[in-house]
Amino acid sequence: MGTRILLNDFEYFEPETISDAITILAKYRKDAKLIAGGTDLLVDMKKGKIKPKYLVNLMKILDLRYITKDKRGLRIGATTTFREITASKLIKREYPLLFEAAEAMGTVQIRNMATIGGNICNAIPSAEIPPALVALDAVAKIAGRRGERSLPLEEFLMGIGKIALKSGELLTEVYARSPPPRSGTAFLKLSRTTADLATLNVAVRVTLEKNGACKEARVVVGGGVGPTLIRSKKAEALLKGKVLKEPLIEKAAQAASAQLKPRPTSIRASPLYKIEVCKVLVKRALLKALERTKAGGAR
Amino acid sequence: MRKFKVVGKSVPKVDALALAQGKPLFTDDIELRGMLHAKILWSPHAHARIKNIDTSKAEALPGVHAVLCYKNVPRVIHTTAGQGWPEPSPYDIVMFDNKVRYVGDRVAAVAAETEEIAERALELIKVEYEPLPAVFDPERAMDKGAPVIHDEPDCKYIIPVFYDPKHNHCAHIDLEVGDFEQGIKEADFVVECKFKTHHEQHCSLEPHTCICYFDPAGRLIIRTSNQVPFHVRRIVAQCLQVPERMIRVIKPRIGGGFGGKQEVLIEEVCAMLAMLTKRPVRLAYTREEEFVSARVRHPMVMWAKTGVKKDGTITAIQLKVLSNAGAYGAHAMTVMNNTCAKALPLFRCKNIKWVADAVYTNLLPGGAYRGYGVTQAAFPMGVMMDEMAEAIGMDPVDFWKLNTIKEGETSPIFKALSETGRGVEMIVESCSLPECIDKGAEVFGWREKRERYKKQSKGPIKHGIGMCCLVQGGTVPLIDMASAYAKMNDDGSFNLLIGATDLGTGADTVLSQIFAETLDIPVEDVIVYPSDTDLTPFDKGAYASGTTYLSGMAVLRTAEKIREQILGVAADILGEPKEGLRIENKGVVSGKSGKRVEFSQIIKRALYGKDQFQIGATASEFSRLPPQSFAAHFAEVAVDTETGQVKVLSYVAAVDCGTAVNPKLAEGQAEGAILNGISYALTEEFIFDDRGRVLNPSFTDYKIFSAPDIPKITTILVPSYEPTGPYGAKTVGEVNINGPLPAISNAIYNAVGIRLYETPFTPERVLNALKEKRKSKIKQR
Repeated sequence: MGTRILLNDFEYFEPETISDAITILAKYRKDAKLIAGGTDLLVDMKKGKIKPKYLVNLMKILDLRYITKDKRGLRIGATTTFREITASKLIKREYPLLFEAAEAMGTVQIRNMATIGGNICNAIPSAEIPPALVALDAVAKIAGRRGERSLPLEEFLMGIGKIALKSGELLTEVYARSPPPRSGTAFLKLSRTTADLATLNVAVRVTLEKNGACKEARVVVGGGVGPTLIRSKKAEALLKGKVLKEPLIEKAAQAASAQLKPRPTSIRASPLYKIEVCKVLVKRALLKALERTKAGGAR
Repeated sequence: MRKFKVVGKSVPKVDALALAQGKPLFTDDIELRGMLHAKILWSPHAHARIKNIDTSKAEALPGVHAVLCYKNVPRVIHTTAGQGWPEPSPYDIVMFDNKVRYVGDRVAAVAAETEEIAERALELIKVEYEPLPAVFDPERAMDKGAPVIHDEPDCKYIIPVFYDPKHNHCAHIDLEVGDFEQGIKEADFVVECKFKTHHEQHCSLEPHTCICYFDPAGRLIIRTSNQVPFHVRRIVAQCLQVPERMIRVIKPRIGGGFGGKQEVLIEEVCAMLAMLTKRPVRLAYTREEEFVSARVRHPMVMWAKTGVKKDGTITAIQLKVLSNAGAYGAHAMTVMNNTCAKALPLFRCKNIKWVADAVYTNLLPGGAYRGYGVTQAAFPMGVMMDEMAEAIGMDPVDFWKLNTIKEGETSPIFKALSETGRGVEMIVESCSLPECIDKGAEVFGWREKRERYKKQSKGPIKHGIGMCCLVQGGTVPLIDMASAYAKMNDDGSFNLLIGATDLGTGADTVLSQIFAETLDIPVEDVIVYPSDTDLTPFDKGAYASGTTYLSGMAVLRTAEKIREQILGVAADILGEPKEGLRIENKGVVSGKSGKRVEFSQIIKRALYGKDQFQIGATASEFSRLPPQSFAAHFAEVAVDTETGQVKVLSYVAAVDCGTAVNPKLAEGQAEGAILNGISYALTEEFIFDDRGRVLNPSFTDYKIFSAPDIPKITTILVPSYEPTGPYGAKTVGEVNINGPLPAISNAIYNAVGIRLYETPFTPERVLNALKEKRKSKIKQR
């Protein structure tokens, strides 16, 4: 908010290990707020929406910042920045869906600062990367005083600003499943300008059987279409086991669109428009993903 | 056409290096000892009477030095419009009133040791409001029983014009040249449509910022980011009820104005707080405040009706205008007048009728915004031209060329009306618009694309092209004045002191070029110092595209006077008559003897040698007529028929600004204006709730284009030579913002066959129009 200053005083911590961070969180509980890139939090603090008494900066914890792969998937540390994601050759090559979603987020300046963990935990419905992660069956890894636990990202995201972290816990990693062979993915975002929050974003994956029928599909819609992103299992079920032709894809897109529950007061577009355009975007994304399975290259 | 040495060259901006180095050039770049910070309390109500304000708790907060509200500030009714005197805007505002008229209206102000304390103090001010019914729709504002927004008895114009605040009627003028009804009778086709344009914020990167302090003599210094420093001095003196001699206004570098800073929006509050506290006071808007408490482009409802013959002759034009002035009438009448005075002279038509009203509503006050009414009128007129061309089956390029004013021609509008009322008869002595149309169409590939897009591809994306022509008269004739002063230094360099106000446009550079050209010196030898009411002579300020043209003439005349003095001294040195001498490359040369004497020798003689005097001069110029700048714009769009998204693929602007004194800067002005216009046409939009609150007061939610959104823009400068301007120059600041609305609307029509009469062209609006079109087609079958 322009030149407005931070309105409340707070105590500031820079732990260097995950366990130190957990100790601080456990001590101050709801009065503590985690900060990583700060691109959302600081704006909210300037607006006076959030007034934390204790601010815990995670960026000094080196163990939270990495991109690596193992046999089954991709591990991204929670404080990995969007810039690091878009610059990763591994991600661009093997997880183009994540690359596309990460690149669609914000501006260069924001991507330099913002982190994947911050983006997930801030849980705004228009976020780009969560739908892409859900389409890759991603899992959120959580650390707390009682040890670690994992949760499918879909369940981790509970609503506007609501996540499944308990007091004293923090998100440490996002684990995305490596797309099976014969997979194709696509991410599409609709926004007013390049540097805009999404009016709508769509992430899809289709994985085909050897005979060309759809083995598995993921259809995920974000962008202020409900309290959080919407994974359309109805659309996925329509596609599963079928040979993907345009009429079927249109039907699936229709099904996904029918699940939208946009707020009536959205600034970026009316609910009716979102529902209308969701059909178009899901259809286009599925066709693009299908095309990519055939191309065999970009997944 | 004359050959120039400095004029017509893209010399670097004189302030470019310091700006690039991040030197402390802007208002807010200084920190004064003991400086207090001011914050303002804004109205949460669109319309309410303030029954009481209790500021005692705020005043008691440690660190708070002053709290202002209607109770302790004299009621001086005035206008915030930074215009010449007597202002053609109603006196309808006071520094603090016991009534608020829009959400974001000023209620109280605090000066405190820190911004933080000031913000806390605001929270401690208790205001008792009596909410009143509000009116937001300009078409309802004059209804019987509508809430009266200005019921105070002292609101008035100080010039004799129509004003009926009891009916929210802020301004009215109508005129007719020829016989409109007769023109309609003569027409083969008549087109009639209703148009609507929307609010727009200037979005200057530097918000309104002001620092006030006292010099050792006890005079008030106002350091402010403002386009009209001399008007600031006059209006602040008025509000504070002090003599103008007590005030000095300094304008540092400005981070953009676009009309938003042709307004005394914060200076008088900052000055009042400084007076009260005897401390330096800083007041700077936040971005949110820019959106909810500054000024906007006047939204307008317009009804256009035109008649055309099969041969392409336009027989009649009628434009009815209803301007939404918002809560205060600053610039309301003049912006309204320009929908005729500066927009309609473009068209060759004998029968023109124009009826215009401006009304008060409980929304953001309108103000000056680049284009100043012409932007609004250019939209309906540009679309009507397209419709008429279609009706008679003529290519728009040919139709525009046939029906736009040419060199040596006049328009009855010139005499009938100016921005302020009284018109000036004039002949257009420079106009390269026909060449602009030809060159623009050629570079754009108009005929080839028009042919290509007759067959659209099968997919959901359709392509189309559209064009329009534009005019914008510069300056306010018979009112605007500019002046300059210059003196010669020991080494033959010059101080050039100009009242003119460079708001990022490059005026300092352009004016230095004009000065350098006249005295045949390099630009480096001109030390330019602008906009300081103590040191520089008067200038009306930066508005109405007038700086290059008018301040340029003042600089030219100043340099000419100095040239005479230099030649006089040289004649004495050389022992030859002045008449045989000429200035050449920092020296004076005799045509007869071939002898040469350098400027440095001449000034040394003048300062130290014989009959000593300061070589220096001042000169002024006032505007005798509004020079007409023209442009032809061409837009190519892709319309996604499934999402409604419109993308501008390419944009060509061929511009006649007379001589481009600095082509690079002229192109920058054109491209900046075009981008501003495209962004306004497609994405910029205020969203209000049903209580008049702005729901999107930030760059997160109010979307302006940024670097990745910029389409390919090609600017072609097509020179003409304006005999009344400096070295043939006219104006270039505004004309190009008027093109994107009509050009894009016409291109969308060309692509998908829908006419958009309401702005902005959002995906949702486009998609709805496409649906309507499909429905009506089904009905027809």
